[in-house]
Amino acid sequence: MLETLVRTHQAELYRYARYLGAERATAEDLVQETFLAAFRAEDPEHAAAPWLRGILRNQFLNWCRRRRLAPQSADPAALSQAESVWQDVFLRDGDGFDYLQALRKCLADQPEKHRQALDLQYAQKKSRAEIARLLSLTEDGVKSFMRRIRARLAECVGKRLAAEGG
Amino acid sequence: MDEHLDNLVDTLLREEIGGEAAPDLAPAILARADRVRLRWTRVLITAAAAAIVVAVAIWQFAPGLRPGSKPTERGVTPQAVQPAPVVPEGGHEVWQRGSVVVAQGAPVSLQLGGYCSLELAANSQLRIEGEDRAEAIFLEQGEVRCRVERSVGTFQVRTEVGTVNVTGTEFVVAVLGKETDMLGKRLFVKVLTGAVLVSGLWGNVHLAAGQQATLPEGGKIAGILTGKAETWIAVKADGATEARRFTPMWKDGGLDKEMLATFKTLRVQNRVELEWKMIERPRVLWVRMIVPEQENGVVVGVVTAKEANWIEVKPDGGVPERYVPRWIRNPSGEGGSMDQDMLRKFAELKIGDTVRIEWNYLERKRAISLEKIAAVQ
Repeated sequence: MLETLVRTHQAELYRYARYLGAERATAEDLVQETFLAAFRAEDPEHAAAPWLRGILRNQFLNWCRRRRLAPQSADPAALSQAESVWQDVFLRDGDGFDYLQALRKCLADQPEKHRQALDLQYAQKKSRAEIARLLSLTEDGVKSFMRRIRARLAECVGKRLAAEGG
Repeated sequence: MDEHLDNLVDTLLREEIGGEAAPDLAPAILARADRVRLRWTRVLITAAAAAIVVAVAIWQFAPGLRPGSKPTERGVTPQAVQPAPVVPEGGHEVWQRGSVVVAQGAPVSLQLGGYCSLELAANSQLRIEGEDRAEAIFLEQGEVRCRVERSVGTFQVRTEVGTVNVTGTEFVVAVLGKETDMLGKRLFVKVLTGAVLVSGLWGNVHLAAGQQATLPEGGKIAGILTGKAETWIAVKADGATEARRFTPMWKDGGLDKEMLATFKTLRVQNRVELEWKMIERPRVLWVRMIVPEQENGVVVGVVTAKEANWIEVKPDGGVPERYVPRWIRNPSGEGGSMDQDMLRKFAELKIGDTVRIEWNYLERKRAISLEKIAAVQ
C-alpha cells in the first residue's frame, strides 16, 4: 500500500531533507515531491530508503537551481558526500538508533555552559544576537562556540560507538 | 569538523532538544497522488473515447481498412496474429509417462486416462506421472485446471509444496512463488465442484466446492538480518538468495509497539530466527537474534555473498554467517575507523573463494584475521 510506503519513510526523509539544508517548509515540499516521483516508479511499494533519498537529493538540487542559490548548495558532489556521511556515520546500524542513543548520552555529559548554550539555541530558539548578549559573546563568537559544541558532541558519539565496537 | 557531520549533529539536536518532529505528510501526499491518478484517468478515458470514435469512423467509412479484409492495391492488410499453439513432444498428442508438457504463449489442453481433462495455463509446465486408473501429474510451475470424472479412477496433482488428491471433482491448482523467494513456494488450490484433500508439511486439509486455500500460510525461518528500519526487518533465509521484509502485526490501531521495540534491539548482519504469518504481507509473530555461545572462534567456508563492509561465509554443512571488520581506534585515542586492512582483503575476495576467518563477537561477528585458502574455480 502506498500509504505504508509514506508512513514507513516520511520521518527519515524529512530528517534527511533538513540535514541537507532545507528549511522546514521546503523540507515538507521536498518530501512530498519525492513520494509523488516514487509513486510513478514500477514497484513503489518496495522502494528502498537509499533510492528515495536519491530522489530527494535530485529534488533538492532542482529546488536550489530554480532559486539560484549559492553554487555550493547545488553541488551534486557535495550532496553525494552528504549521503556518504549519512549512510556511513548515522546509519551504520541500519536505522540511526545507535547514533541517537550515543548522542543522548553525550548530551547528558556536557558541561553546564554547553548545555545552557544548546538550550538557548535549540529549545528556546533564541537568535544569535540574543545568545551573544546572554553569554557575553560576540555574534561571531556564538557561531564558533556552537560549532565547537557540536564538534565535541560528534567526537563523543564517535568514541562511544567505537567503545561499543562500532 | 566536517561540514556534513556538523549538519548531522545540528539536525539531530533540533529534534532532541528543540522537539522538532517530522510532520505527518501522508494525507497531503496521498491526496495529491489521487488527484494525479484522477487526472491521468481522465486523460486515458478521453484518449480511449477518441480511439473508439476513430475506430467506428474507420469501420463506417473505410471498410478497406478493417482487419482481415483482403489486400487492396495500395498494400497488404495486416493480419491478426494468434499466439502459436504449443506442439507437444513428438508433434502429436501422445502422453507418455514422464512426458513434460510446456505451455508457453497459450494454454494447452490434455486428457489423461480418458477421465481426467486438464487445461495447463500459459507459462506453465507439468510432467505426466501416475499409472492406469491412478493418473497423476507433477505441476512444476504455473497453474492447471482439472476436471476428473467420478467412479473411474483417482487423480493427483503433485507439486514441490504438496499434493492434491481427488476422486471426481473440478479444481484449480497453482504453484506460487519463485525459487529464490525466502517464503518458498506455496500451493494455491481452488475447488470448483466436489472436494479435494491437500497434503503437505502442514498435514491434510480438506477443501469443498467453493473453498480455496494458499498453503503454507506461515512458518518459522532462520537466516541473516540484512536490513531494518523503524517498521520492518529484512531477513535472508537460509537457502534463499533474496531477503524478504517482515512487518509487525497490526494491533490496537497501529503496528504492534512491542515488536517495533524488539526491532530496535536487533543488529543487522546477525543471524535471527522468527515465525511469520501471511496477512496481506509477511508479518512477524516473534523474532530473536541468535548470539553465538562463544565470544570468538575460527571458521573455514566458502564466500557466498559480499559487499564493501561485510562478507558472508558458509562452512561445509553449516549455515551462512556474515562478518564485518573490527573497529580500530586512532592512536590518539580519539575516534577511529573500520579495519582498513580487512576491508582491502574483503575487496579482493570473489564469491566462491574458500577462506579461513578468525573472529570475535562484539554485537556482530568481526573478522580478526582472514586467509584465502582456495580461489573459486
